[in-house]
Amino acid sequence: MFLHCFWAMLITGTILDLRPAGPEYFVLRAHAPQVVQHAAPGQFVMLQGWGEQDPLLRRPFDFHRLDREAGAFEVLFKVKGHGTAMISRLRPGDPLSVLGPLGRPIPFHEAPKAVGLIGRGSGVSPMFTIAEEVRRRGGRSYALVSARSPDRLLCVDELRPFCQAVWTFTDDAGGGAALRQALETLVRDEALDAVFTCGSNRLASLVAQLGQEGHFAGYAFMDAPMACGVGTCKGCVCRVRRDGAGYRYALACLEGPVFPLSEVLIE
Amino acid sequence: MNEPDLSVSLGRLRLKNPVMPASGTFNFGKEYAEYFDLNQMGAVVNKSVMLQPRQGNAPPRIVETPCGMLSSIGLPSQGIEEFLTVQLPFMRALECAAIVSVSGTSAEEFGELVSVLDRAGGVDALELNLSCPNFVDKVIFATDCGLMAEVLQECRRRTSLPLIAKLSPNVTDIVQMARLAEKHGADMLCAVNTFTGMAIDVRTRRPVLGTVTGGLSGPAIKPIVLRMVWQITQAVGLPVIACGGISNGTDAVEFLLAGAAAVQVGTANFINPLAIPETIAGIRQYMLDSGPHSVTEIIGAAWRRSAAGR
Repeated sequence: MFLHCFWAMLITGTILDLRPAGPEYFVLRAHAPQVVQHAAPGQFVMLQGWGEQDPLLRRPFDFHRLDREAGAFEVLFKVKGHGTAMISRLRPGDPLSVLGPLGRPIPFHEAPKAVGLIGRGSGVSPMFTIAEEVRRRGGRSYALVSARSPDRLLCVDELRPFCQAVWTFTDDAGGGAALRQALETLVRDEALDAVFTCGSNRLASLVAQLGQEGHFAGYAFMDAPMACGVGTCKGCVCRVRRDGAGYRYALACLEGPVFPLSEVLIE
Repeated sequence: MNEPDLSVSLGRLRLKNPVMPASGTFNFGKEYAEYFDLNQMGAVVNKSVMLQPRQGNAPPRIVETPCGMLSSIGLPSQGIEEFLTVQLPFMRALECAAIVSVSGTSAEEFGELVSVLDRAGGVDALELNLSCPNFVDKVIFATDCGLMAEVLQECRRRTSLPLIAKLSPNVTDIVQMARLAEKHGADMLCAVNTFTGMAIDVRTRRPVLGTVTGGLSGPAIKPIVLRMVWQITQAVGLPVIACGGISNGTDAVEFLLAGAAAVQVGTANFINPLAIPETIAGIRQYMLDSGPHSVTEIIGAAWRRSAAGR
């Protein structure tokens, strides 16, 4: 079993750009060529942008964009607490401690025909690298972007060039039911190979359910509190079904963060 | 300039330098082998092995707190059989001391693990994790004089390998527990495991951790552990390995000055995979800048300064 990312490294990168992407949301672009060179969709980085001991832990981020030519990556995040607030106040030129790439790359079908991408809030972030990879392999992506309100629909225009179609859903416009209907239609009309979801347990459950009925592989980005990112703190566990009966704990940093919805339990 | 001598002796256990990982923060070393040469370490210490495979506690298992973190991992373990075939050979192959941390749910289980590891060969010392605060039934051996004595006696009976008793800080008088460990056959002490604590999410109005309480670690606990090491080393003759918030060379030197014979780097590994080699380099630099030739000469040096009234 693949339990280890052999290309992970610890480097000091440089912040190239930090721009707002919505209320309390930011996109950070950093130069870290050694990390970007080996990074793949589905992987993540642990960042630290301060030299002090408070906040203590690094913060994990999915790759939003991977620009191999420029040796740069982007992450899209919401300011949730002390650590993300500090990162949001960094400036171009500031050093950034980067640990990565971490986690298991998405196991893409060699020639995917069509995939569905479902992101809610900042959960839209990793869909960009997936859409790019699917296109590179000759497939089509259909994105369903969900948010609480229209101003929280993030980076939708930037996503369009990578996708066959992008639909948006907001809670104030009955988003939940509409998204379900759109996904059902998509599953019926397109022979989806896979559907990826990030940012909502409710949407992950929906994809898991439709995946069972339909014929696509569902995957979810799992979010678990994490200290080390490399498998030593044993903190970031998710329950996954065990052959036979019951479940076992899997570390999101090593076996994930992307898990097949046929295996992981959404709680 | 003369290269300083960083080697230390902890009774029969000789280390090329006083720095090692804290159990439970380093797995058994494999993950960090990509970041630095593990052979630089004074010793390697595994995450405590249990007799049988165990899953560990229900999530959430960790939460950050100011300058620290609470964790309740619950000793997930691959069990001793896999440990002997996978983890121990890796540890043994390193050019540093192999300290095997064990934990059990009873004195008998501790004793059985000690017997198996005594026979396995290539183990330089055994660290008895008597102080995990996160077992499901929340029994902490090292907070109960009777239980701790029982485990130590059982382990002592079964091996002549150096035994390290890892103490719990969750006691009224740490010195009393240190004396008790000495009396019942410990060769060394490790001070200390994590402090029990908890966090509550004001939004959900529930405890954050799946097991309600967890163990506090990181820089937040360092001053308390330093005080404990200071007290223990002046009251008890056994070598003490300090553990609690040590993140760099300066922290390590503080603990050596307080009387510790060696130090463990724990939570710092999570943030900085190079925390251990940087700590070793920091001690060396301190010795070059202002120390005597041998690091053993600074162990407990702060007592003398204190006694002399500065």
